[in-house]
Amino acid sequence: VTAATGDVSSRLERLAGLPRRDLAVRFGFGAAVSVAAGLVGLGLGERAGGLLLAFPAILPAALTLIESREGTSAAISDVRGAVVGALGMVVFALVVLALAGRILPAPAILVAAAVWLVTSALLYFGGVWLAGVLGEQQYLPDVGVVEAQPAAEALRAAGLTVAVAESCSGGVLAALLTAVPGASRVTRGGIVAYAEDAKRELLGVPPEVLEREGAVSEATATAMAVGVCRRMGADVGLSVTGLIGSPSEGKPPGLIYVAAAGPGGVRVARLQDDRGPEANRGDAVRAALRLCCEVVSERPEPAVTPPPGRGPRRSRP
Amino acid sequence: MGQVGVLLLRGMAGGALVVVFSLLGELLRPKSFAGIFAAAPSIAIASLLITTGVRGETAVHESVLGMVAGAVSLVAACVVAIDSVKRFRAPRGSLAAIGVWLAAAAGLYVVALR
Repeated sequence: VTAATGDVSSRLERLAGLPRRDLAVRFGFGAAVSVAAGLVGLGLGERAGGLLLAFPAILPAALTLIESREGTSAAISDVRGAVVGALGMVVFALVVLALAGRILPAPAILVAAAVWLVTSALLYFGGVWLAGVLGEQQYLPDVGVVEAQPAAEALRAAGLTVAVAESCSGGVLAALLTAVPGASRVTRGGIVAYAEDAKRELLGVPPEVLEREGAVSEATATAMAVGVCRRMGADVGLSVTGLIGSPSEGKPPGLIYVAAAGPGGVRVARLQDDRGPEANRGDAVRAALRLCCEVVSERPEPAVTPPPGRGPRRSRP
Repeated sequence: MGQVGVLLLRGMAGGALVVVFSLLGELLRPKSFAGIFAAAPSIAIASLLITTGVRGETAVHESVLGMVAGAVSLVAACVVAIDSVKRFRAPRGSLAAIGVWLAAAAGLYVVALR
């Protein structure tokens, strides 16, 4: 119950933190298309105006905003849902037509809206069930190389090098960092240590840390980041360890620890929003790139305490 | 209320409902489920309710006939957007989807509605 309450409250916090400009843009698009539908209806007839009632008014703004905030994978997930919503919209219009003459238009529209919601939800969960039965195809996260550019730039500007230690991200972080133009100046290399013995032997994660805290823990992520620095002679070490799609050790899927060890100390981020394997990997990689920028830019100074339960923590390696 | 007033009312109501459905989408997870609200009939609900009050039942019926064609076009646009956003990123990918909607809607209007 506590976790559920926390989840709801964190979503409400995110809602309150939405930029007013985002909402104003969506309002503007919605208002403009509504007025356009009215004008077309007056000029060319109600049928032509009715076409515009299903115009994808907020799709470009919504997808662009989602992509800028959460990446391309999230935008694609959103548009997959929009396909379902659009099918529901066909049903909405058919229900209004079917109820015409039987009940008043206003109640018919409200009934159709309820049918839209139920139909869309059934189509969505039916699709999820079908994907499970047929064996859904898994993809690696669609993180643009451009998203690694700020970290590479920061490293280059500071004259530092980076190495990565990856578990659940399976080399995606290394692939991104090596795809950035001029990667050879900042990237030393990476180690994919998926098994616990690989974490011990290749990265020097102490056995007692793995025994006591588990492979998915802040202590293991920290040891991996520090270990890969030493092993590869890099100035900055990044690490990712977590549960991409299945629970383990009593921990839920989506729980991922990301660490960055640099000259100024170690920063760790704890991710716990389960958005599916592909998106979870993408979130972890983005968090690692963000932490990389932070450890490169920070000077050794007293620790800043983040808000409880959120954001990265900082400690000395 | 004059025609300008009705248009303004449509704009305000349509914009407000779009924002309400967007906020619902922001609250929900996973993202693909929340995406349903990106294709919610927000503008349709606002506009049809106002049309009901101002122009009567026949106008609503005519509007909804057009909306069926628009919604079918929207399905096509969203299907195309899955691939176009992947290939061209969101700004250009969604503009390509709008192009598909315009072409499909114009075609359906000429063939079935005019």
